[in-house]
Amino acid sequence: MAIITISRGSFSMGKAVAEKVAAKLGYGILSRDLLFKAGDRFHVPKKTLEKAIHDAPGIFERYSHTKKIFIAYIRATLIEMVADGDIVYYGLAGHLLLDKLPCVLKIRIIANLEDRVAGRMAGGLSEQKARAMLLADADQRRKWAKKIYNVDPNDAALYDMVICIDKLSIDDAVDFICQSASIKAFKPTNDCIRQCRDLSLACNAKALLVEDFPDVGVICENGNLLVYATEKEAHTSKFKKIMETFQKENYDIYNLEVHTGLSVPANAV
Amino acid sequence: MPVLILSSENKELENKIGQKIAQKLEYTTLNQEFFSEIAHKYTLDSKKLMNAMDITPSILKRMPSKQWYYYLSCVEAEVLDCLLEDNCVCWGLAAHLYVAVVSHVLKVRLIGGHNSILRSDEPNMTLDKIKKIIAEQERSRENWSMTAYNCKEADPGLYDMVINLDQVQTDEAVETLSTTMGYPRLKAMTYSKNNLTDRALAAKVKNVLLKSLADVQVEAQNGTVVVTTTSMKRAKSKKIDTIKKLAGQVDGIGYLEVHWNKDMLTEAAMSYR
Repeated sequence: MAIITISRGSFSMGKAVAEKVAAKLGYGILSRDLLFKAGDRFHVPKKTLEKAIHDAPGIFERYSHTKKIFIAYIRATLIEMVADGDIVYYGLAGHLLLDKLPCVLKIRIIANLEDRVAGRMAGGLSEQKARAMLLADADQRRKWAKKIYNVDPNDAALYDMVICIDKLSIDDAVDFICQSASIKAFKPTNDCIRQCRDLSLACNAKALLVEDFPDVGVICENGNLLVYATEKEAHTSKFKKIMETFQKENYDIYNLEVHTGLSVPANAV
Repeated sequence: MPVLILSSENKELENKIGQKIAQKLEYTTLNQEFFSEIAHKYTLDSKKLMNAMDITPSILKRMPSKQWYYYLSCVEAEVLDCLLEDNCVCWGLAAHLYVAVVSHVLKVRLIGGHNSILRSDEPNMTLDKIKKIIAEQERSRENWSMTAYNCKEADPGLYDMVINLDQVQTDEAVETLSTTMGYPRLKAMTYSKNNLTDRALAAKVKNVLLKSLADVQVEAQNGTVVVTTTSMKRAKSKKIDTIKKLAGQVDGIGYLEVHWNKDMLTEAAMSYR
Protein backbone atom coordinates (compact mmCIF):
# COMPACT_ATOMS: atom_id res chain seq x y z
CA MET A 1 0.00 0.00 0.00
CA ALA A 2 2.64 2.52 -1.02
CA ILE A 3 1.71 6.20 -1.02
CA ILE A 4 3.54 8.51 -3.41
CA THR A 5 3.22 12.30 -3.23
CA ILE A 6 4.44 14.34 -6.17
CA SER A 7 5.05 18.00 -5.51
CA ARG A 8 5.61 20.31 -8.46
CA GLY A 9 5.48 23.85 -9.70
CA SER A 10 3.01 24.84 -12.42
CA PHE A 11 3.96 23.40 -15.83
CA SER A 12 6.81 21.33 -14.38
CA MET A 13 5.46 18.12 -15.99
CA GLY A 14 4.57 16.78 -12.55
CA LYS A 15 1.05 15.85 -13.66
CA ALA A 16 2.34 13.84 -16.61
CA VAL A 17 4.84 12.08 -14.36
CA ALA A 18 2.16 11.30 -11.74
CA GLU A 19 -0.25 9.89 -14.34
CA LYS A 20 2.44 7.68 -15.87
CA VAL A 21 3.65 6.45 -12.47
CA ALA A 22 0.08 5.57 -11.44
CA ALA A 23 -0.53 3.76 -14.75
CA LYS A 24 2.76 1.83 -14.53
CA LEU A 25 2.27 0.72 -10.92
CA GLY A 26 -1.49 0.21 -11.26
CA TYR A 27 -2.13 2.75 -8.46
CA GLY A 28 -5.00 5.16 -8.03
CA ILE A 29 -4.42 8.83 -8.68
CA LEU A 30 -5.61 11.80 -6.68
CA SER A 31 -5.32 15.54 -7.10
CA ARG A 32 -8.05 18.22 -7.06
CA ASP A 33 -10.75 15.56 -6.48
CA LEU A 34 -9.64 15.79 -2.89
CA LEU A 35 -11.04 19.31 -2.66
CA PHE A 36 -14.44 18.20 -4.05
CA LYS A 37 -14.62 15.41 -1.51
CA ALA A 38 -13.51 17.64 1.40
CA GLY A 39 -15.99 20.31 0.26
CA ASP A 40 -18.88 17.80 0.19
CA ARG A 41 -17.95 16.34 3.54
CA PHE A 42 -17.56 19.61 5.43
CA HIS A 43 -19.96 21.72 3.36
CA VAL A 44 -17.37 24.22 2.15
CA PRO A 45 -17.14 25.45 -1.50
CA LYS A 46 -14.26 23.92 -3.46
CA LYS A 47 -12.95 27.37 -4.42
CA THR A 48 -12.61 28.34 -0.75
CA LEU A 49 -10.66 25.17 0.00
CA GLU A 50 -8.48 25.69 -3.08
CA LYS A 51 -7.68 29.20 -1.93
CA ALA A 52 -6.93 27.95 1.59
CA ILE A 53 -4.39 25.43 0.37
CA HIS A 54 -2.75 27.65 -2.25
CA ASP A 55 -2.75 31.32 -1.25
CA ALA A 56 -0.74 32.70 1.64
CA PRO A 57 -2.95 33.88 4.53
CA GLY A 58 -3.94 37.54 4.39
CA ILE A 59 -3.82 39.89 7.37
CA PHE A 60 -7.37 39.10 8.59
CA GLU A 61 -7.06 35.34 8.03
CA ARG A 62 -4.11 35.29 10.43
CA TYR A 63 -6.46 36.16 13.25
CA SER A 64 -9.63 34.33 12.19
CA HIS A 65 -7.98 30.87 11.88
CA THR A 66 -9.90 30.19 8.64
CA LYS A 67 -6.86 28.66 6.94
CA LYS A 68 -6.25 26.39 9.92
CA ILE A 69 -9.86 25.18 9.78
CA PHE A 70 -9.89 24.49 6.03
CA ILE A 71 -6.48 22.82 6.12
CA ALA A 72 -7.70 20.52 8.92
CA TYR A 73 -10.69 19.57 6.71
CA ILE A 74 -8.46 18.90 3.69
CA ARG A 75 -5.98 16.92 5.73
CA ALA A 76 -8.62 14.71 7.35
CA THR A 77 -10.12 13.95 3.94
CA LEU A 78 -6.73 13.33 2.31
CA ILE A 79 -5.63 10.86 4.97
CA GLU A 80 -8.88 8.94 4.65
CA MET A 81 -8.52 8.82 0.89
CA VAL A 82 -4.91 7.60 0.91
CA ALA A 83 -5.22 5.30 3.93
CA ASP A 84 -5.76 2.23 1.74
CA GLY A 85 -2.51 2.97 -0.07
CA ASP A 86 -1.46 2.25 -3.65
CA ILE A 87 -2.10 5.84 -4.58
CA VAL A 88 -0.28 8.75 -6.21
CA TYR A 89 -1.25 12.19 -4.89
CA TYR A 90 -0.04 15.08 -7.01
CA GLY A 91 -2.15 17.88 -5.60
CA LEU A 92 -0.95 20.75 -3.47
CA ALA A 93 1.08 20.30 -0.27
CA GLY A 94 0.92 16.47 -0.17
CA HIS A 95 4.39 16.21 1.36
CA LEU A 96 3.38 18.60 4.17
CA LEU A 97 -0.13 17.26 4.84
CA LEU A 98 1.21 13.70 5.05
CA ASP A 99 4.47 14.58 6.79
CA LYS A 100 3.60 12.56 9.90
CA LEU A 101 3.09 9.35 7.94
CA PRO A 102 6.01 6.97 7.42
CA CYS A 103 6.39 4.96 4.19
CA VAL A 104 5.33 7.91 2.05
CA LEU A 105 7.60 8.44 -0.94
CA LYS A 106 7.84 12.21 -1.31
CA ILE A 107 8.96 13.36 -4.74
CA ARG A 108 9.53 16.88 -6.01
CA ILE A 109 9.58 17.49 -9.77
CA ILE A 110 11.34 20.61 -10.97
CA ALA A 111 11.89 21.91 -14.49
CA ASN A 112 13.76 24.61 -16.30
CA LEU A 113 11.90 27.95 -16.01
CA GLU A 114 12.20 28.59 -19.77
CA ASP A 115 10.48 25.27 -20.57
CA ARG A 116 7.75 26.08 -18.05
CA VAL A 117 7.22 29.50 -19.60
CA ALA A 118 6.94 27.85 -23.03
CA GLY A 119 4.38 25.42 -21.61
CA ARG A 120 2.34 28.27 -20.12
CA MET A 121 2.53 30.21 -23.40
CA ALA A 122 0.89 27.29 -25.22
CA GLY A 123 -2.32 28.50 -23.56
CA GLY A 124 -2.13 31.69 -25.66
CA LEU A 125 -0.35 33.98 -23.19
CA SER A 126 2.50 36.34 -24.00
CA GLU A 127 5.95 35.36 -22.72
CA GLN A 128 6.02 38.22 -20.23
CA LYS A 129 2.60 37.37 -18.83
CA ALA A 130 3.35 33.64 -18.69
CA ARG A 131 6.61 34.24 -16.81
CA ALA A 132 4.94 36.68 -14.40
CA MET A 133 2.11 34.20 -13.70
CA LEU A 134 4.52 31.33 -13.01
CA LEU A 135 6.65 33.44 -10.69
CA ALA A 136 3.60 34.81 -8.85
CA ASP A 137 2.24 31.29 -8.42
CA ALA A 138 5.56 30.02 -7.05
CA ASP A 139 5.71 33.01 -4.72
CA GLN A 140 2.23 32.30 -3.32
CA ARG A 141 3.13 28.66 -2.69
CA ARG A 142 6.38 29.65 -1.02
CA LYS A 143 4.60 32.16 1.25
CA TRP A 144 1.87 29.63 2.06
CA ALA A 145 4.40 26.97 3.13
CA LYS A 146 6.39 29.54 5.10
CA LYS A 147 3.34 30.91 6.94
CA ILE A 148 1.54 27.62 7.63
CA TYR A 149 4.41 25.15 8.11
CA ASN A 150 7.42 27.48 8.43
CA VAL A 151 9.29 25.67 5.66
CA ASP A 152 10.58 26.58 2.21
CA PRO A 153 8.98 24.32 -0.44
CA ASN A 154 12.22 24.50 -2.45
CA ASP A 155 14.21 22.92 0.38
CA ALA A 156 15.27 19.50 -0.90
CA ALA A 157 15.34 18.11 2.65
CA LEU A 158 11.50 18.04 2.65
CA TYR A 159 11.49 15.32 -0.01
CA ASP A 160 12.95 11.88 -0.51
CA MET A 161 13.91 12.72 -4.06
CA VAL A 162 14.01 15.76 -6.28
CA ILE A 163 14.07 15.11 -10.02
CA CYS A 164 14.78 17.75 -12.63
CA ILE A 165 12.91 17.24 -15.91
CA ASP A 166 15.47 18.60 -18.30
CA LYS A 167 18.29 16.19 -18.90
CA LEU A 168 16.09 13.39 -17.56
CA SER A 169 12.87 12.88 -19.51
CA ILE A 170 9.39 12.24 -18.11
CA ASP A 171 9.83 8.52 -18.79
CA ASP A 172 13.19 8.46 -17.02
CA ALA A 173 11.61 10.15 -13.99
CA VAL A 174 8.75 7.62 -14.06
CA ASP A 175 11.20 4.69 -14.14
CA PHE A 176 13.16 6.26 -11.34
CA ILE A 177 10.09 6.80 -9.11
CA CYS A 178 8.72 3.30 -9.77
CA GLN A 179 12.09 1.82 -8.87
CA SER A 180 12.23 3.92 -5.68
CA ALA A 181 8.69 2.89 -4.69
CA SER A 182 9.92 -0.69 -4.40
CA ILE A 183 12.63 0.32 -1.88
CA LYS A 184 12.20 -1.29 1.54
CA ALA A 185 11.75 2.05 3.37
CA PHE A 186 8.62 2.85 1.37
CA LYS A 187 7.02 -0.59 1.59
CA PRO A 188 4.17 -0.52 4.10
CA THR A 189 4.60 -2.51 7.27
CA ASN A 190 1.94 -3.36 9.87
CA ASP A 191 3.29 -0.53 11.98
CA CYS A 192 2.87 1.86 9.08
CA ILE A 193 -0.75 0.77 8.51
CA ARG A 194 -1.47 1.28 12.21
CA GLN A 195 0.11 4.74 12.19
CA CYS A 196 -1.98 5.65 9.15
CA ARG A 197 -5.16 4.57 10.96
CA ASP A 198 -4.12 6.50 14.08
CA LEU A 199 -3.36 9.64 12.10
CA SER A 200 -6.68 9.39 10.32
CA LEU A 201 -8.48 9.26 13.70
CA ALA A 202 -6.49 12.21 15.05
CA CYS A 203 -7.12 14.29 11.93
CA ASN A 204 -10.85 13.53 11.96
CA ALA A 205 -11.09 14.55 15.63
CA LYS A 206 -9.16 17.73 14.91
CA ALA A 207 -11.43 18.52 11.93
CA LEU A 208 -14.48 18.31 14.17
CA LEU A 209 -12.96 20.46 16.91
CA VAL A 210 -10.99 23.02 14.91
CA GLU A 211 -13.85 25.40 14.06
CA ASP A 212 -14.70 26.08 17.72
CA PHE A 213 -11.37 25.21 19.31
CA PRO A 214 -8.64 26.10 16.78
CA ASP A 215 -5.71 25.63 19.17
CA VAL A 216 -6.59 22.10 20.25
CA GLY A 217 -3.93 19.44 19.57
CA VAL A 218 -4.72 15.76 18.94
CA ILE A 219 -2.52 12.68 19.04
CA CYS A 220 -3.56 9.08 18.45
CA GLU A 221 -1.37 6.16 19.42
CA ASN A 222 -2.57 2.55 19.02
CA GLY A 223 -6.18 3.73 19.05
CA ASN A 224 -5.69 5.84 22.20
CA LEU A 225 -6.81 9.38 21.43
CA LEU A 226 -5.16 12.18 23.42
CA VAL A 227 -6.68 15.63 23.11
CA TYR A 228 -4.75 18.65 24.39
CA ALA A 229 -6.96 21.60 25.26
CA THR A 230 -7.11 24.44 27.76
CA GLU A 231 -9.07 24.00 31.00
CA LYS A 232 -11.68 26.48 29.78
CA GLU A 233 -12.18 24.70 26.44
CA ALA A 234 -12.39 21.19 27.86
CA HIS A 235 -15.19 22.05 30.26
CA THR A 236 -17.56 23.54 27.71
CA SER A 237 -20.60 21.42 26.88
CA LYS A 238 -19.89 21.79 23.15
CA PHE A 239 -16.44 20.23 23.54
CA LYS A 240 -17.81 17.33 25.57
CA LYS A 241 -20.63 16.75 23.09
CA ILE A 242 -18.26 16.68 20.08
CA MET A 243 -15.95 14.23 21.84
CA GLU A 244 -18.81 11.94 22.94
CA THR A 245 -20.28 11.83 19.43
CA PHE A 246 -16.87 11.20 17.90
CA GLN A 247 -16.17 8.32 20.27
CA LYS A 248 -19.55 6.77 19.58
CA GLU A 249 -19.09 7.00 15.80
CA ASN A 250 -15.55 5.57 15.81
CA TYR A 251 -15.44 2.08 17.26
CA ASP A 252 -11.67 1.82 16.72
CA ILE A 253 -11.00 4.37 19.50
CA TYR A 254 -9.71 2.31 22.37
CA ASN A 255 -9.44 5.11 24.93
CA LEU A 256 -10.06 8.86 24.92
CA GLU A 257 -8.18 11.21 27.22
CA VAL A 258 -8.44 14.98 27.43
CA HIS A 259 -5.34 16.72 28.81
CA THR A 260 -5.64 20.24 30.08
CA GLY A 261 -3.02 22.71 31.20
CA LEU A 262 -0.30 21.04 29.13
CA SER A 263 1.43 22.50 26.08
CA VAL A 264 0.48 20.83 22.81
CA PRO A 265 3.24 18.33 21.78
CA ALA A 266 5.10 18.97 18.54
CA ASN A 267 3.82 15.76 16.93
CA ALA A 268 0.15 16.63 17.53
CA VAL A 269 -2.14 17.53 14.61
CA MET B 1 29.78 7.31 -22.09
CA PRO B 2 28.29 9.00 -19.04
CA VAL B 3 29.93 10.84 -16.19
CA LEU B 4 28.43 10.94 -12.69
CA ILE B 5 29.12 13.91 -10.42
CA LEU B 6 28.17 13.56 -6.76
CA SER B 7 27.86 16.34 -4.22
CA SER B 8 27.08 16.09 -0.52
CA GLU B 9 27.72 17.67 2.86
CA ASN B 10 28.14 14.17 4.24
CA LYS B 11 31.65 13.40 2.93
CA GLU B 12 31.72 9.91 4.38
CA LEU B 13 28.55 8.81 2.60
CA GLU B 14 29.51 10.60 -0.59
CA ASN B 15 32.80 8.73 -0.65
CA LYS B 16 31.15 5.39 0.14
CA ILE B 17 28.48 5.76 -2.55
CA GLY B 18 30.94 7.10 -5.12
CA GLN B 19 33.33 4.19 -4.60
CA LYS B 20 30.53 1.61 -4.73
CA ILE B 21 29.05 2.97 -7.97
CA ALA B 22 32.48 3.17 -9.61
CA GLN B 23 33.18 -0.40 -8.58
CA LYS B 24 29.81 -1.65 -9.80
CA LEU B 25 29.96 0.09 -13.17
CA GLU B 26 33.73 -0.34 -13.52
CA TYR B 27 34.19 3.42 -13.89
CA THR B 28 37.24 5.41 -12.89
CA THR B 29 37.02 7.68 -9.83
CA LEU B 30 38.03 11.29 -9.48
CA ASN B 31 38.03 12.61 -5.92
CA GLN B 32 40.05 14.55 -3.32
CA GLU B 33 43.05 12.27 -3.92
CA PHE B 34 43.42 14.16 -7.20
CA PHE B 35 44.48 17.34 -5.35
CA SER B 36 48.04 16.09 -4.80
CA GLU B 37 48.38 15.36 -8.52
CA ILE B 38 47.14 18.87 -9.39
CA ALA B 39 49.44 20.44 -6.80
CA HIS B 40 52.40 18.52 -8.21
CA LYS B 41 51.60 19.51 -11.81
CA TYR B 42 51.25 23.22 -11.03
CA THR B 43 53.92 23.21 -8.30
CA LEU B 44 51.49 24.38 -5.64
CA ASP B 45 51.29 23.63 -1.95
CA SER B 46 48.91 20.66 -1.72
CA LYS B 47 47.53 21.69 1.69
CA LYS B 48 46.90 25.24 0.53
CA LEU B 49 45.16 23.95 -2.59
CA MET B 50 42.81 21.77 -0.53
CA ASN B 51 42.26 24.70 1.81
CA ALA B 52 41.24 26.91 -1.12
CA MET B 53 38.38 24.50 -1.83
CA ASP B 54 36.97 25.14 1.66
CA ILE B 55 37.61 28.77 2.53
CA THR B 56 36.78 32.09 0.90
CA PRO B 57 39.64 34.48 0.09
CA SER B 58 40.91 36.43 3.04
CA ILE B 59 44.22 38.08 3.87
CA LEU B 60 43.79 36.92 7.47
CA LYS B 61 43.61 33.32 6.27
CA ARG B 62 46.67 33.95 4.08
CA MET B 63 44.66 33.37 0.94
CA PRO B 64 44.52 36.52 -1.20
CA SER B 65 41.75 36.72 -3.77
CA LYS B 66 44.05 36.50 -6.80
CA GLN B 67 45.77 33.36 -5.50
CA TRP B 68 42.44 31.80 -4.53
CA TYR B 69 40.96 32.23 -7.99
CA TYR B 70 44.14 30.84 -9.55
CA TYR B 71 43.99 27.75 -7.31
CA LEU B 72 40.35 27.18 -8.24
CA SER B 73 41.15 27.56 -11.93
CA CYS B 74 43.91 24.91 -11.62
CA VAL B 75 41.40 22.42 -10.13
CA GLU B 76 38.74 23.32 -12.70
CA ALA B 77 41.12 22.95 -15.68
CA GLU B 78 42.47 19.60 -14.54
CA VAL B 79 39.11 18.11 -13.53
CA LEU B 80 37.46 19.11 -16.81
CA ASP B 81 40.39 17.63 -18.69
CA CYS B 82 39.94 14.33 -16.85
CA LEU B 83 36.17 14.31 -17.37
CA LEU B 84 36.73 14.28 -21.14
CA GLU B 85 37.80 10.66 -20.65
CA ASP B 86 34.17 9.55 -19.85
CA ASN B 87 33.07 6.61 -17.69
CA CYS B 88 33.94 8.43 -14.53
CA VAL B 89 32.45 9.04 -11.08
CA CYS B 90 33.59 12.36 -9.64
CA TRP B 91 33.08 13.85 -6.16
CA GLY B 92 34.70 16.23 -3.71
CA LEU B 93 36.12 18.52 -6.41
CA ALA B 94 33.18 20.96 -6.74
CA ALA B 95 32.68 19.78 -10.35
CA HIS B 96 28.90 20.20 -10.00
CA LEU B 97 29.47 23.96 -9.88
CA TYR B 98 31.49 24.36 -13.08
CA VAL B 99 30.17 21.52 -15.25
CA ALA B 100 26.87 22.92 -16.43
CA VAL B 101 24.33 21.55 -18.92
CA VAL B 102 26.33 18.72 -20.48
CA SER B 103 23.85 16.04 -21.46
CA HIS B 104 26.03 13.01 -20.65
CA VAL B 105 26.95 14.31 -17.19
CA LEU B 106 24.51 13.37 -14.43
CA LYS B 107 24.75 15.62 -11.39
CA VAL B 108 23.37 14.17 -8.16
CA ARG B 109 23.12 15.77 -4.72
CA LEU B 110 23.01 13.48 -1.69
CA ILE B 111 21.40 14.94 1.41
CA GLY B 112 20.51 13.58 4.87
CA GLY B 113 21.89 10.25 6.03
CA HIS B 114 22.97 11.73 9.36
CA ASN B 115 21.90 8.55 11.16
CA SER B 116 24.88 6.74 9.68
CA ILE B 117 27.22 9.28 11.34
CA LEU B 118 25.36 8.71 14.58
CA ARG B 119 26.14 5.03 14.41
CA SER B 120 29.75 5.34 13.34
CA ASP B 121 31.01 8.43 15.19
CA GLU B 122 31.53 9.32 18.82
CA PRO B 123 29.01 7.79 21.24
CA ASN B 124 28.08 11.13 22.89
CA MET B 125 27.07 12.67 19.55
CA THR B 126 23.33 13.30 19.23
CA LEU B 127 21.33 13.73 16.03
CA ASP B 128 20.60 17.36 16.94
CA LYS B 129 24.29 18.09 17.40
CA ILE B 130 25.10 16.52 14.03
CA LYS B 131 22.32 18.50 12.35
CA LYS B 132 23.71 21.72 13.84
CA ILE B 133 27.22 20.93 12.61
CA ILE B 134 25.91 20.04 9.13
CA ALA B 135 23.82 23.25 9.02
CA GLU B 136 26.94 25.26 9.91
CA GLN B 137 28.92 23.45 7.20
CA GLU B 138 26.13 24.12 4.70
CA ARG B 139 26.21 27.84 5.49
CA SER B 140 29.95 27.98 5.00
CA ARG B 141 29.71 25.98 1.75
CA GLU B 142 26.98 28.28 0.48
CA ASN B 143 29.22 31.25 1.18
CA TRP B 144 32.09 29.52 -0.64
CA SER B 145 30.04 28.53 -3.70
CA MET B 146 28.50 32.01 -3.98
CA THR B 147 31.95 33.63 -3.94
CA ALA B 148 33.52 31.11 -6.31
CA TYR B 149 30.77 30.38 -8.84
CA ASN B 150 27.89 32.69 -7.91
CA CYS B 151 25.47 29.86 -7.13
CA LYS B 152 24.18 28.16 -4.01
CA GLU B 153 25.51 24.64 -3.65
CA ALA B 154 22.34 23.39 -1.93
CA ASP B 155 20.02 24.73 -4.65
CA PRO B 156 18.22 21.64 -6.09
CA GLY B 157 18.00 23.42 -9.45
CA LEU B 158 21.74 22.85 -9.93
CA TYR B 159 21.31 19.09 -10.03
CA ASP B 160 19.52 16.51 -12.14
CA MET B 161 18.51 14.62 -9.04
CA VAL B 162 18.58 15.03 -5.28
CA ILE B 163 18.38 11.92 -3.10
CA ASN B 164 17.54 12.13 0.59
CA LEU B 165 19.41 9.37 2.41
CA ASP B 166 17.33 9.57 5.59
CA GLN B 167 15.02 6.80 4.34
CA VAL B 168 16.92 5.47 1.33
CA GLN B 169 19.81 3.15 2.24
CA THR B 170 23.21 3.66 0.62
CA ASP B 171 23.00 0.34 -1.23
CA GLU B 172 19.59 1.28 -2.61
CA ALA B 173 20.95 4.65 -3.74
CA VAL B 174 23.89 2.88 -5.40
CA GLU B 175 21.51 0.50 -7.18
CA THR B 176 19.22 3.29 -8.35
CA LEU B 177 22.04 5.51 -9.57
CA SER B 178 23.78 2.63 -11.33
CA THR B 179 20.55 1.86 -13.21
CA THR B 180 20.06 5.54 -14.03
CA MET B 181 23.56 5.74 -15.51
CA GLY B 182 22.46 3.16 -18.07
CA TYR B 183 19.67 5.37 -19.45
CA PRO B 184 20.19 5.97 -23.19
CA ARG B 185 19.64 9.71 -22.66
CA LEU B 186 22.91 9.85 -20.73
CA LYS B 187 25.05 8.37 -23.51
CA ALA B 188 27.73 10.77 -24.75
CA MET B 189 26.99 12.34 -28.12
CA THR B 190 29.18 14.46 -30.40
CA TYR B 191 27.35 17.61 -29.29
CA SER B 192 27.68 16.94 -25.57
CA LYS B 193 31.34 15.92 -25.98
CA ASN B 194 32.07 19.14 -27.88
CA ASN B 195 30.29 21.06 -25.15
CA LEU B 196 32.53 19.55 -22.49
CA THR B 197 35.64 20.02 -24.67
CA ASP B 198 34.77 23.73 -25.02
CA ARG B 199 34.41 24.06 -21.26
CA ALA B 200 37.75 22.33 -20.71
CA LEU B 201 39.39 24.66 -23.24
CA ALA B 202 37.88 27.76 -21.58
CA ALA B 203 39.08 26.52 -18.17
CA LYS B 204 42.65 26.00 -19.51
CA VAL B 205 42.74 29.51 -21.00
CA LYS B 206 41.36 30.99 -17.79
CA ASN B 207 43.99 29.15 -15.77
CA VAL B 208 46.83 30.46 -17.93
CA LEU B 209 45.48 34.03 -17.72
CA LEU B 210 44.79 34.00 -13.98
CA LYS B 211 48.42 33.15 -13.27
CA SER B 212 49.38 36.77 -13.92
CA LEU B 213 46.12 38.67 -14.56
CA ALA B 214 42.89 39.26 -12.69
CA ASP B 215 39.34 40.03 -13.73
CA VAL B 216 39.00 37.77 -16.78
CA GLN B 217 35.98 35.75 -17.90
CA VAL B 218 36.47 33.10 -20.55
CA GLU B 219 33.95 31.34 -22.76
CA ALA B 220 34.53 28.90 -25.60
CA GLN B 221 32.37 27.58 -28.40
CA ASN B 222 33.54 25.22 -31.12
CA GLY B 223 37.17 26.17 -30.48
CA THR B 224 36.50 29.93 -30.58
CA VAL B 225 37.58 31.46 -27.28
CA VAL B 226 36.13 34.76 -26.06
CA VAL B 227 37.94 36.49 -23.21
CA THR B 228 36.17 39.39 -21.50
CA THR B 229 38.24 41.69 -19.35
CA THR B 230 38.03 45.05 -17.61
CA SER B 231 40.76 47.63 -17.17
CA MET B 232 41.47 51.34 -17.33
CA LYS B 233 41.52 52.83 -20.82
CA ARG B 234 45.22 53.59 -20.71
CA ALA B 235 46.03 49.95 -19.97
CA LYS B 236 43.70 48.60 -22.67
CA SER B 237 46.17 47.72 -25.43
CA LYS B 238 48.73 46.36 -22.98
CA LYS B 239 46.18 44.06 -21.34
CA ILE B 240 44.76 42.85 -24.65
CA ASP B 241 48.26 42.09 -25.95
CA THR B 242 49.14 40.20 -22.77
CA ILE B 243 45.92 38.16 -22.98
CA LYS B 244 46.59 37.29 -26.63
CA LYS B 245 50.16 36.33 -25.86
CA LEU B 246 49.30 34.17 -22.86
CA ALA B 247 46.23 32.53 -24.36
CA GLY B 248 48.20 31.75 -27.51
CA GLN B 249 50.20 29.21 -25.48
CA VAL B 250 47.14 27.00 -25.03
CA ASP B 251 46.63 24.24 -27.59
CA GLY B 252 43.26 23.79 -29.27
CA ILE B 253 42.22 27.43 -29.73
CA GLY B 254 40.75 28.01 -33.19
CA TYR B 255 40.14 31.72 -32.88
CA LEU B 256 40.67 34.13 -29.99
CA GLU B 257 38.55 37.20 -29.34
CA VAL B 258 39.20 39.67 -26.54
CA HIS B 259 36.32 41.85 -25.36
CA TRP B 260 37.39 44.82 -23.30
CA ASN B 261 35.24 46.82 -20.85
CA LYS B 262 36.20 50.12 -19.28
CA ASP B 263 36.77 49.98 -15.52
CA MET B 264 34.47 52.90 -14.73
CA LEU B 265 35.08 52.89 -11.00
CA THR B 266 38.88 53.11 -11.18
CA GLU B 267 38.66 55.64 -14.03
CA ALA B 268 36.38 57.82 -11.91
CA ALA B 269 38.62 57.50 -8.88
CA MET B 270 41.74 58.36 -10.93
CA SER B 271 40.13 61.39 -12.60
CA TYR B 272 39.13 62.70 -9.17
CA ARG B 273 42.78 62.55 -8.08
